[in-house]
Amino acid sequence: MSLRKTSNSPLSFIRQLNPISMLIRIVMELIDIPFKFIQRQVGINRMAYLFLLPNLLIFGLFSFWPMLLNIYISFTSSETTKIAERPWVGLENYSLLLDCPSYWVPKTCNVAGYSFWTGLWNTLAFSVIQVPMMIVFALMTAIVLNRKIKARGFWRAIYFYPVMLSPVVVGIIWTWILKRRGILNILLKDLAEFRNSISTIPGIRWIVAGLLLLILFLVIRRFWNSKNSTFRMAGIVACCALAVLVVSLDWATMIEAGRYRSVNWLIDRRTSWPFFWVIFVYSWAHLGFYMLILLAGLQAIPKDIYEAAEMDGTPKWRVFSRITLPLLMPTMLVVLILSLIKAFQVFDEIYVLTGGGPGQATKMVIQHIYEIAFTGETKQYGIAAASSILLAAIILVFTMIQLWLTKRRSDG
Amino acid sequence: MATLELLDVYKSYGDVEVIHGIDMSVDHGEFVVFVGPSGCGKSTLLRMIAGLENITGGEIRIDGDRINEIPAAQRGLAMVFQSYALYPHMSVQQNLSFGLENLRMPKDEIKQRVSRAARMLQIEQLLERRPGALSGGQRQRVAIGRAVVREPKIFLFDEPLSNLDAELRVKMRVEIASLHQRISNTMIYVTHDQIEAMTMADKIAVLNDGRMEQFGRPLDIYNRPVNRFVAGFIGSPRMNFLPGVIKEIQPDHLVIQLKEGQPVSVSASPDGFQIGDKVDFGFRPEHISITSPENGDFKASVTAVEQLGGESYLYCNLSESEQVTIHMQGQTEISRNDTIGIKTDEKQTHVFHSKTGLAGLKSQE
Amino acid sequence: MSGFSTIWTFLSRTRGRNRLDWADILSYGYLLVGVLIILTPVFWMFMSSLKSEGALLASDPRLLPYDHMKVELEGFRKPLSLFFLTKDDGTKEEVAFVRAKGLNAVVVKPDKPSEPFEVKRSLLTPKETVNPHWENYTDPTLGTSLSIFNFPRYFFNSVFVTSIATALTLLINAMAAFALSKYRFRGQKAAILIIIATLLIPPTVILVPLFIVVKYFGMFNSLWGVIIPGAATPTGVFLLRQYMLTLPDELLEAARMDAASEWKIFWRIVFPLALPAIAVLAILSVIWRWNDFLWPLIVLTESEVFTLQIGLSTFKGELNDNTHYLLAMTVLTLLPVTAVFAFLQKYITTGIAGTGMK
Repeated sequence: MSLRKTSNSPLSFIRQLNPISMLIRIVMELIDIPFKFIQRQVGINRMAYLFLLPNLLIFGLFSFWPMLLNIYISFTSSETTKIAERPWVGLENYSLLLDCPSYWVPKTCNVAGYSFWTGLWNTLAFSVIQVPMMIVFALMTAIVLNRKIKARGFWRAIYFYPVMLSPVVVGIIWTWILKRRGILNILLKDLAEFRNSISTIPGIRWIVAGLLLLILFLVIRRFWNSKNSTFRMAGIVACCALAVLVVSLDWATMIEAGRYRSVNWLIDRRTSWPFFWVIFVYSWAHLGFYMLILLAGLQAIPKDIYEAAEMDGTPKWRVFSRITLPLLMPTMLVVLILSLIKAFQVFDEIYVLTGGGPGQATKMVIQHIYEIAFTGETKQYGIAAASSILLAAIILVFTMIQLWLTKRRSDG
Repeated sequence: MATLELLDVYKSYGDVEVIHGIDMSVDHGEFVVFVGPSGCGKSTLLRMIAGLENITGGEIRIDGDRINEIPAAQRGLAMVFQSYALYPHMSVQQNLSFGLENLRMPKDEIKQRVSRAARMLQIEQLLERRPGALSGGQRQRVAIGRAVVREPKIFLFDEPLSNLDAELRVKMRVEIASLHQRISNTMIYVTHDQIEAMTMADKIAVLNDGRMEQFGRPLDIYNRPVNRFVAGFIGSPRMNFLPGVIKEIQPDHLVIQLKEGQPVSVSASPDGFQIGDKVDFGFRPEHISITSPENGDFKASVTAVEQLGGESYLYCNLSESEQVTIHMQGQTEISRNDTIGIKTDEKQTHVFHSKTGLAGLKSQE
Repeated sequence: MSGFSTIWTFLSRTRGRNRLDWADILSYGYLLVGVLIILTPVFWMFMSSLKSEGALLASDPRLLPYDHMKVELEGFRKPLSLFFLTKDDGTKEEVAFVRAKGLNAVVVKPDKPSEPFEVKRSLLTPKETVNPHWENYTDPTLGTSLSIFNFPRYFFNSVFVTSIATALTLLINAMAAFALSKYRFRGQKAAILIIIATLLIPPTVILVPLFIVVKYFGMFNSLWGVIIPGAATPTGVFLLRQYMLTLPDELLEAARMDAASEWKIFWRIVFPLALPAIAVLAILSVIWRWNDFLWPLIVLTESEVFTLQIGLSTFKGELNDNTHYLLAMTVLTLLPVTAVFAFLQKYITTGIAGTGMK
């Protein structure tokens, strides 16, 4: 029986911790008493309700009931948390958020609407840029790891490691690296100085040109061996044209970098660097997870399909585009939707990294809800609830797609 | 030690009735085998006795007491499952004692019973192992041991040998039979293998499609099947059937005209048969004699010969689509494409209504 | 299209089976760059956390924690910093810095503290030694600066939340999964639908009402307010249910014949046999809980109940001059996770890849 592997699982040490296991045993024997009593009353099959009870109770009290409350609260205002004392204001909270001359320019809205629409557009921009970027790199990494690579487990573990780190830790690590006098600026400065010092080497122009010509020569040699004659000619002509270009360029000035001025990566208002780094750091922290799922998807593709393709003499790029990609598509879709849902709820990393700044440049919609409800001088629960409902509607769409996809996958 | 009675037992899942009213009574100490093709309801019936399935209608009694409403654990039965259902995370020792612990039995007694059962089944040296580290036969013994330690009124076996290879199956068959002789409890044993049924049972219940076709001693069922289904199911290779018409009715036998050849006769009660009825004439492969083509009841051409040394099988075609299997002791000179004559013995032949499948009853000898 | 394919075959042509071809080199290069991007920040964090407060303020770019050496001399109240003085002939001499005087510096020789003299400041280079400042770690954990960052308190709170919440999650999710996989009962489909429906309500969209409910139950500023609401997870229920469906029903029936109560069947048979799946959920739950941020940020507003994450982020927001502690505490926070991952990485990665959920 394959189940006997149980004994080697990491949790088996629990059995050896005697005081704890004694305690657990006593607790379980105690629970057995009322359960047995109820079992005698209701019979075996109805015991299922009892087993379900704690879970459903928590779901009810801390998911469904709050969701209903959420709707109610969004129609009320005032700072009190006592539901009964909250005055009904109808659609006022929604109109505060939605009555805007132009949704595209959040500044034209009132304070709450400004905050909400800024957050929403930022979140949208974040999701639209972050998700594809991360998936592309996750897919590339997964494909590389799916090759015959030595120490695959090691690489996989390192790439997954940031997923284990807490958002706060990730935020602090990167703040430390990206601050004005942080290591990134220092490295870039060194690099600039290095380039400057190279550009002053006499004859650098010819050294660089010579190296590039050598590479071009190697490429030409491969073209020379090619069987396809038009292809060969085209390649050689192209290489020769490149060679002329290489020789004619002034490499010394191209290498010269000028004086490096430190960038305030997370604070500079005039650039998009804060937004870029928010995306980068978030992807840095989450890429490993999606890479792992994609890798699992790749490894689930039967090896004999590839062997059959090889027997057919299918070229490699065709194997990739006609076999790997289509078979990976279901996994890709799941990854896409999952990461979109997550991206829409982004808060932790960015809150620690930039606090939504500079200004409101990286403020996301969850941060808007959090601040408007919990950190402001007046606690505007009603507006926060209304914003939550609008956000929930967006997330709901994606989640439905996800459920539909997983269902289709498990059915098929 | 216990008796078991089933009174008009029904079972349905929703609108689908799967057991259509079964009556049966088992004396104490009897070894009863439920046999039938897969899907005939034999396992369901066993699980109803065990208490793992609800009883839709009718009554099951143990020692005369109705047990329909009593939970499985309190019926005083023990069951050996098809997959053994050994707890994979417990040692053999723990597997054997788990049930006794649940009954809050004193530790000393648990220990005694476990070691007694282990000795009886020769699994003493395995007590510390996990089921995963045991061979198929050893697991089987542990599964039986788990039933034995409970000292149940009735043992239930649900196709316990079907996961073993052929050799081991024969061995365990003998062991279970000798276990029964030693502890002489009532045992109910479910199988689809009619050889197991014939060799082990005191009584066989042949089930088909939720109905009990026949209940009786193995040889009675073999010699006097009550219908065509039982006749075809019990016995290996299965009985040969040839279509025919009743030609003549005598007080103690019937004469049947087959499609070709001489009329053949069957010694059976003529009740329910009339001249001209369409019937199936049945005879077992081992119950014929081979003659020259002219002297037999009918002719057959041999299409294949299987020589096993001690015995031989002939597969023959009659002129039209009918096929006949013949089982002979010893070796044979007959070879493929030979034509032979087949002679039947009226004492060992059977007749069945084509429509109902009911047999002409053979007299007790 | 055919032109493209020719280029592809041309470029991907390999020379020999056993030699590294360019695709292999590219692969390893890609992986190596990625690993550098992943590990360098963490490593740099660790190295920085060992530096002195002064070195951090000065943004010393060197990897190792250098300290400016000091010496106590007669006639000076404070210890003096040591420098190397580069002489005209290129040799170096050790001097102690007394004070600045324009572009010059007043220094003394350590063996003659009573004879100060002036040198150009540009001729001085600091005398340094490698000195890891472990007190960045020990101060907030063992005593002196508990008032600034009460690490033991936060650590205890985090451990409490993580362990209790994980135990609770495992127990009640396994119970629900058991009910949904091993029983047939009226409303089974409804129960499954309800649990799927909770997937549609991510915690981030019910922050306000959840806060109100938690406050109503008196769990505001209590660790239980963090533990209880997230104890039931649809992900966990489905993960365990999927696994329990593969356990043969005959095992349960055998246990029922063995007179085991339903609770006993759950606890003694199904739970131990589902351990592989339960371990995955345990790991997920530990990661979730240890790293949890937004919800604790709302529920926990008093520093006695801060978890490590809340403590760290508050600390980061408040104080800019205790960077040395912040970095050290950040390292301490990521250390348990790193250690767990180092030991269980194979199990964690295969487990999570197997479930494909988060």
